[in-house]
Amino acid sequence: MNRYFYYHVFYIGMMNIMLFVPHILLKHRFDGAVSGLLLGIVVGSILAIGTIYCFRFFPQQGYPEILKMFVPAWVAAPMLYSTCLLWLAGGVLATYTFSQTMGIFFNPEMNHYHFLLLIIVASIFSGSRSTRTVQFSVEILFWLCVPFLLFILFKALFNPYLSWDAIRIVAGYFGRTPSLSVMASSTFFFTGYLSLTLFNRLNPANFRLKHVWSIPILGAMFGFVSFFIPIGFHGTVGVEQYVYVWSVTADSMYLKYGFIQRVLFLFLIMYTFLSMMFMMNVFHACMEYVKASVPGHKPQPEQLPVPKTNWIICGVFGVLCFLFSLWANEGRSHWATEIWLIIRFLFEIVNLIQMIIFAVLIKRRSSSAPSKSGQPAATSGQ
Amino acid sequence: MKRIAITLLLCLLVSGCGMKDIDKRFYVVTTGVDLSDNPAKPYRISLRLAITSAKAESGSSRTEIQTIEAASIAEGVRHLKAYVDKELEFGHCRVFVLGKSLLESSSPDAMSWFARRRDIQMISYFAVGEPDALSVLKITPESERYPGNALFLSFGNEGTESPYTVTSYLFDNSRRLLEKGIDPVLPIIRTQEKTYVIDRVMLLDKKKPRLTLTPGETQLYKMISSHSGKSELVLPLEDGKRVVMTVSDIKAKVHIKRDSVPVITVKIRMGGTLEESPPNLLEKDWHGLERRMADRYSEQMEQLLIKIRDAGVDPLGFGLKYLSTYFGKEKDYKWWQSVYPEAKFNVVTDVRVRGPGVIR
Amino acid sequence: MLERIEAVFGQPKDLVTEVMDNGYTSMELCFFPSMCDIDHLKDAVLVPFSYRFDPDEFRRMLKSDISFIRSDEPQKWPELLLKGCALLQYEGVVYCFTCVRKMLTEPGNTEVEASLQGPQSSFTEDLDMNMNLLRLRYNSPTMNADVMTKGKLSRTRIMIVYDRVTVDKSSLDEVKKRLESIDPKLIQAAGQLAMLIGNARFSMFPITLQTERPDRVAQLLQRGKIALMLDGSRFAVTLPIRFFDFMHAMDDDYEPYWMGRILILFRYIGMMLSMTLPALYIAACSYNPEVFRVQLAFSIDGSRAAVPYPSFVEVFIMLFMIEALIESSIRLPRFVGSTAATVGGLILGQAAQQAGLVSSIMIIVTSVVAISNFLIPNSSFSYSIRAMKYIFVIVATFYGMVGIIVAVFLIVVYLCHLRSFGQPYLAVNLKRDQKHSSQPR
Repeated sequence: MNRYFYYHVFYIGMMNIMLFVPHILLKHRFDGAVSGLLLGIVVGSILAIGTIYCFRFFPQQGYPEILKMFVPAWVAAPMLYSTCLLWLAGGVLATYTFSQTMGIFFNPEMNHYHFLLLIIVASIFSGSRSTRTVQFSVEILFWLCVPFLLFILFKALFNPYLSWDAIRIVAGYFGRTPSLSVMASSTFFFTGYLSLTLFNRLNPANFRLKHVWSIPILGAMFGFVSFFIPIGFHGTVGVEQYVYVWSVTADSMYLKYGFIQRVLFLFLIMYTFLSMMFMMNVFHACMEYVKASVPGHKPQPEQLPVPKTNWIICGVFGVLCFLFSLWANEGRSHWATEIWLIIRFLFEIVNLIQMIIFAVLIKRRSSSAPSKSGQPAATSGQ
Repeated sequence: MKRIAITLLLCLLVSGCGMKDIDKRFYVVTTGVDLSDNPAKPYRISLRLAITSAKAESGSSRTEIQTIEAASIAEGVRHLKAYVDKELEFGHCRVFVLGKSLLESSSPDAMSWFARRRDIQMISYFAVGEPDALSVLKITPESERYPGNALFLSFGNEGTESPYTVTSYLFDNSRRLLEKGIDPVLPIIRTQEKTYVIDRVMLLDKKKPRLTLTPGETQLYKMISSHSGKSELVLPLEDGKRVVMTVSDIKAKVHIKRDSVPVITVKIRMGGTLEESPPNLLEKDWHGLERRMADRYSEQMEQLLIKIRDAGVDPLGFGLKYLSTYFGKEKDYKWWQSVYPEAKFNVVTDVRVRGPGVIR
Repeated sequence: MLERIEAVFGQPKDLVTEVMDNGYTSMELCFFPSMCDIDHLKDAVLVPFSYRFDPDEFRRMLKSDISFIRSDEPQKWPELLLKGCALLQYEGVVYCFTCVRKMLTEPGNTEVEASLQGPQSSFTEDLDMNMNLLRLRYNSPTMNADVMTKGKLSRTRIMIVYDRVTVDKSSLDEVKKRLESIDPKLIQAAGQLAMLIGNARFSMFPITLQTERPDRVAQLLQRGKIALMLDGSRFAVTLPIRFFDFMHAMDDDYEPYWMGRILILFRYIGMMLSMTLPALYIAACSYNPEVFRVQLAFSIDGSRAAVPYPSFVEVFIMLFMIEALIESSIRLPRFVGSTAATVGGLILGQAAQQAGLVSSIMIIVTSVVAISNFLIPNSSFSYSIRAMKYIFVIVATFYGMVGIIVAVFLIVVYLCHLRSFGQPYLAVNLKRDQKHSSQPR
């Protein structure tokens, strides 16, 4: 079951491109992005590993169940709603950017809203599935994406036009202090661990996450790749002028042999999958949170046929996505994304503290009353 | 599943079509931009449009050329739509030719149109047309199977791999235009009867063309800039005979020493086989021949580098290399700019002759 | 006895109701000659009763021979007669003599799932023969079979076969529950049964696998699956099944490992091609011609030059043509079948292209779609793929390339969402997960 966790780490780490993380970092490339990246590895790893460690005390329980164990329902519900809103905002922002990117590079003549409709319908359908279904699909989709990822990475790193000099020059600016938004962006590469807050329900009782050491490595890889490769292709100065910097970077690679000449399209195919995965997970997680906020709700990772409530909740999320896109334009979505990244970063810190408190509490409970130790697992109902 | 089907159907029904069939589109294969005589409409935009047919034989490529004068490229293209019956499509326009006069008189900012358009590939090729872009567009080589294919093949190194043809991509050019310590390079396409000759490059600084290299220099430049094999190394002998070596692999390393003036050391290693030589020359004095070739090559290269330096351009990116070696910041770059005109070059070449070819 | 039977059946002309008298005593006999093995009946009943009649021996024979079963309940008689038994009343006691006429005495040949070097025998339309074939291959005491009769009018016998040790208990309960709950009038084919118990009526993919190969059933039993076999169908329904099982031909196990893997890979490629190629053609023609390399785009452009309507119309025309061809060659008699292929494939394809009704590339697309669809070893799954193709075509008509990618995504999610009798339909490495979670802490 280890691997499911890492799939989440993987696609959320990759999603940074759709949330303008490289854009924010590149804007600050001469004042603190490099140090921010390095610091982000440390902070992000602490957040990730700390939370993972805390979750060990709550086998088979998601965040809603844990929350309900310690606080009364009327406190838990608003907390769950705010968490849900936070994630949903991320999903909405990503959908918007994704539909923009696709509109620009794939169907420039098509109405943007039609396009959004397709994505939202797909997200509603996929998000309303059961938790186990989501888990399985993430795995299959991950394996669909990997060949594309490896190919593009290989193509980029061995490209004669990749200027290592430019990369070195930017790397030389590591002495600057990073700003909050840089820190928020650079810790995003590690956010995948938060999937544990929901998918821990599916993990068996004896679950121990292995290869935790690989989290810093993976996050650092995502960070360095999405920050430095555009610099290598567009130079230290030119890189700033592009809005969809990674799409343009992918377009700068060339396939000599093959049906497709522009790597851009491989990149877009991969990102369609990744974005849809992200949307599916966001919709699903938010839906589960909303459902869990009802007192007396019992989590059911496997539910067939899909209950109507799932459709309704996800439908509401879809409408929210649509409303956002009515309001947003490129500038606003940039601004909103930057703010969202910062809020997310603060939330993660709060979340870790909260989890540590809960972990300490449960440890005390179990040591003071050993007879009660089996209780939490029983009340949570798996 | 029924519900999904219904929603999907609804979703499809409300969606208007962004569809435009392939046969309703006119493919631009080459775009040329020249300077016109009219100061109000300084740009003369020419598009070479593909007329495709089901048969792909040699010489079956047919194209149509449309030309317009306009105040800016974008306006010109928009206006040209009124001249044709199908939608203009730049998605497969891989070659952009800029007139020589245009480059000399206007700033390269006009190029931002190319980078901004979503459908223009970042991997399209840029070149200078001599005498102007339109005359380059007008040429249809006999052997061309697909419209515009001849230039795609020459620049893409898919067909010919000429040691004289330097490829310049859009993304590379727009990077060089902005980057500190490296300057743009554009190949020059000249017209000759019914074919193209692409054996020169034009070196530009951030604003204007500064220097045009001869074919020989172009080959030298290409050898060191893109490490391309398949070039040749010539050593004229005293008795008028010539030794020609095909270079199959070449490696160049640049080191820059920080001094009162920077010393740029270029270490070149190359290997290859002899293609033309007086009989038994190699066996008599293998190492001597290698050394003589190396010395001659170093000398040529040094002359070229000095010529480039004196023109005030830096297409090989020595400045960038310097900054990256010493993790340079703004101040270092200023210093570099002030001392680059006096920079010293030191070319060290190591030639390895693999053999005399098939005969002695 | 005879009056009772005549009261139930009326007086059908194919029912023999006789009172036989050999001079000493008499016996009432009634049977359907069309359903009974007359020779058997003669040897076992008529000869001892007539030529060699010995009252003691005859009585002893009726009492001890296992093919004579005493049958005292009159309401069961019609059923027994209909199953092909003969009823005889001797000295006031009714006996049922089983002498069902077996049409089939040897296993059939594989027709739908042919194999090159694997076993060539297949199930027959006779359930007992099928059980024989299966027992021969799965010669283990753990193989269990439950019997059930379903269908108000057809009274089809259904065997639920499974390995007691390896079977997945929850799936078994689920199947039994569903079998109890159904109440059809007629069950004539395995596919019908599969549809009845697979509750998702609108499911796009089969969640049970029908096979005519005893070796496949044996292999699946060993893996803990359940097989349903019924009288009158040469196919067994196996379940729960996973997506990957449909892409697996028995030959893969009989050939060297890597050959098998490569063939499986080809099948997946074929499946993808046959689903997406027409859609990709539409996307390439109408939305994103810049995706493919310039030379290819110009070829498509050139070949489409003469076609007067948009690409999706062209695709629908050609897809309809090919579906019609496939359908007609299944239904047509063998001799005419090849004519259909020739007319359709050669003349129509060539002529349509020359007339400028479809592009030559579309003809290639169509044939690739048709051929690669046949790579799929299971026919009901290949029907699914054939249908999926149209979803892709429709989405591509409206959304182009992105539509196709999103549709792929949706299908993956949908496949993961499906459950075959409680078991995940598409999921990888499940075995390992289960092992992990069952380990002690």
